[in-house]
Amino acid sequence: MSALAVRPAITATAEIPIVFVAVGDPVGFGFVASLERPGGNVTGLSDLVPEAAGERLELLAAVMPGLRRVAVLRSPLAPPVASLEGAARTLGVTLIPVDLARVEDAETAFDAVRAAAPDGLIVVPNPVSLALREQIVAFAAAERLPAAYGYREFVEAGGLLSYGADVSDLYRRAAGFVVRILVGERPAEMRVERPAAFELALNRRTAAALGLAVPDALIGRATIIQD
Amino acid sequence: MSEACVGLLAPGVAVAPLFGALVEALATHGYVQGENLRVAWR
Repeated sequence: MSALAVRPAITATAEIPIVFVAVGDPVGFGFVASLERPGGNVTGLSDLVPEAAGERLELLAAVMPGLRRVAVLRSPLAPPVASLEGAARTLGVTLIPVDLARVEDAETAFDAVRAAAPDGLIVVPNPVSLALREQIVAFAAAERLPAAYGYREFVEAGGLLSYGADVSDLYRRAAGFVVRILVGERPAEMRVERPAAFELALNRRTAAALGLAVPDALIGRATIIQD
Repeated sequence: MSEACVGLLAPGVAVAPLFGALVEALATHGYVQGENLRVAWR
């Protein structure tokens, strides 16, 4: 389960073991005491890659020189990400946070992005944005906004580029946590694991539709190229 | 192999394929849905 599901689950039980998947910052959210020793009835897999958020902005700037104002579609629960703010300072980009807490809030968030009139969009990876990937990608296309995402599923849906964890791999690995608990391990002592695989996905058709030239160096780095 | 019940929570049906990956992976560990594994999700 994700951060949004973990919080009510923790409130409901301190006994039943809880395994999370793709929670960005489980320590920051207060779900675990530390990654090494979670300490309670909660453990799982984080997709936290602190440097990835900044990298996404750098990738977006690489395909869109002159990027100045970037809306960041994120969970209001998520703590600030230093690497994103650092990359923004280095690139001279102004970040405009836009909250997207629930699937039902999509249109409100889209209105807020439109009102901010950015020239780029970063979509923070979480299960809500993942669930809305078709709508978010369609919105970015309609607004002609170059966008960077955290999961390749967005690029498969027509999004411009993504950089981050292989989320399907995280869900498969979550099964290992469940089995370890079923055979008697205690979540309190089960180290939180982080992504083993990172992906850079590019959609050349979307880049062409936006009139963007993807640098050869980026194409060379990509693990997935969608045409 | 004992019986197990796993509850899955997520804020959107679009992550269902990912739950499918988890359930398939549980089967490789001997927990098979409909046999010794009950799965409840919402």
